[in-house]
Amino acid sequence: MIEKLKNIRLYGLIFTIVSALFIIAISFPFFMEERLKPFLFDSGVDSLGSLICAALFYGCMKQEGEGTKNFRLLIVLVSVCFSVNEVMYYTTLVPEWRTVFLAVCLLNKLIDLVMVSFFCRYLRVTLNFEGKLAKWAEKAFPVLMVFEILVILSNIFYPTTFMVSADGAYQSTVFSWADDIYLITVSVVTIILIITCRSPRSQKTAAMTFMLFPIVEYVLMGQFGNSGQYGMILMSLIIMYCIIFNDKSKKLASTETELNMAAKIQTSVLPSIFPAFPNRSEFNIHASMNPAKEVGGDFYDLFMIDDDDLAMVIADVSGKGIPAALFMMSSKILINDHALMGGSPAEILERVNKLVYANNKAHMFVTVWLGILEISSGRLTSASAGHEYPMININGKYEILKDVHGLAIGAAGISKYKNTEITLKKGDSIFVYTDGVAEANNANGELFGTERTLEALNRISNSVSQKDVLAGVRAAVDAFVKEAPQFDDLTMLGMKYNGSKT
Amino acid sequence: MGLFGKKNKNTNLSNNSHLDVSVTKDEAEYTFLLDGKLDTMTSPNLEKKVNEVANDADKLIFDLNKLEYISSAGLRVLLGAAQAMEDKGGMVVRHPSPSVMDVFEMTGFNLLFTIE
Repeated sequence: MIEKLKNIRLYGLIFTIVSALFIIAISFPFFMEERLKPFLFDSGVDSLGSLICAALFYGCMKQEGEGTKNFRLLIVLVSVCFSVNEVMYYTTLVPEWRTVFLAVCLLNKLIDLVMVSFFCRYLRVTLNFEGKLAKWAEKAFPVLMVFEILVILSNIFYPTTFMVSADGAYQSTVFSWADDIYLITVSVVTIILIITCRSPRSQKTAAMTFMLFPIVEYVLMGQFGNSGQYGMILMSLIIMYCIIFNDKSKKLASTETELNMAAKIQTSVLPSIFPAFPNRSEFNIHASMNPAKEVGGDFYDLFMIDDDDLAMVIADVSGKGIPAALFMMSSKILINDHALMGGSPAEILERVNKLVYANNKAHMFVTVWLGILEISSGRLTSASAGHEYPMININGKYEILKDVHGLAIGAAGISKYKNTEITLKKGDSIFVYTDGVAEANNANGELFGTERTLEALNRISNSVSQKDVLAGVRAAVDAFVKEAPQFDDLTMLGMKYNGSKT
Repeated sequence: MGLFGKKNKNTNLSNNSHLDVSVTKDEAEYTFLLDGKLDTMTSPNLEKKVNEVANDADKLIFDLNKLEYISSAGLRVLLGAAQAMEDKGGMVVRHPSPSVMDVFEMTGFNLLFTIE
């Protein structure tokens, strides 16, 4: 994990350094020329700008979610503006390159337009502008944009807003303000829309910085098309970046808290005080659950149906996370209710299945093993709705009990289950578990498997408490998987029958 | 870097399990050839692909010849497909490996699916 993180930072650093070297390598020959000396500072700002763009883009690369894609596109556009600006410096004041210079100037102005219109559209979507003004803007902006493009392109044939002098210098005409009609109108209207829209304040602030900075710049410099403009835009982009992602991490943090709460609620519904029945000496029982994720779909349950009958449940809901946890909660309550209502395990599961299936829109299902121990006789009746085979120790050694399996609960409207009956003698025990045990895998992808589970159980002395039996299995699984991260919950229940009192 | 860490972990997980899904279409009969592991990490992708065609399809066939492993999350996808095809041509599961068949038997899904 830590190794990988280091790598990500390293790639970022290499990427930024390489970009910087690339920019210097390209710029260097040009700035050996005398004519470009006065532009050295402006061009430096541009280079730095594209460098920051690269870093910013890199920073957003791994981010996901609404707006991030547009935000990245915006960064790319700003970076293109920087590059075009750079090319403008390289071609200015060279009489024989006048045509190229003119083309680059036109391109620069056109990209400005695209950037502004793109940003406004992005705002319209993310901030959800409504009302008359917004509707008017939607229709008017494209018209205005076409007009502006025509004005800019007209410079090819006639010096409407600017011209390139004989020595290759940029000269604005008296109509140079016409270049900025679109920009000014769109900016003013958008600012009004931002102020009046009903989006969260943090988003509004972020959007506002982007609109306001270029305007401040425009007022200060009095001349749009100057390189400093992009520096300002970039600064506002960085501010936007901070606001957007600060907001996001806040949301993420609250989700995490909620998940932790859910996990707490979930574990609190499982019986967790052991010994669970301190006054019953006829059996020793213990259960444990270690969810692999914050919340999981495994559960166990143990309760007395009446004075002579102990119910034991172990179950595994398909899937993970909150959906599985919700499904788990309702299944657990249903099984508990219906077990208390009476009937054999098979009958109980049939009733529960009907109810679960009726409201199951998400194709979820739960595998359940339900066992009822008649304490006076040691008779254990169980039924399995597609759950892992129990491991029983009735001959001095743990073995798999191949009980008859019905379909997992919730998978079909009507499922039939069969009871399996065994009789426990004094000292016999049973171990039930979920697939997290047998399917725990190590770094090589090998599964722990039922064989290893049996071996682990049989290594543990028969005289220890069930709590220690579970701890022993857990230790064996841990030793097997070592550092490999586990994706499944590890849930186990062990019960040893000590014979009836009489 | 918090966000980065999370993201990175996820990619790690998906590297561990991998599933190739290739879909072939014969009129309204779609065959999904699954190669790899169908578990919590890989099943959302398969579910998306199944849902894309579920409306069009009359019959869905899952060829599990190359499927090494199936978890409960994977079974859920197959169950969804079976339920979507219930009133149409149905769903068929083909060539499950012995270990995948064990899972079907364990969970009782062999009673629900048509297995060939």
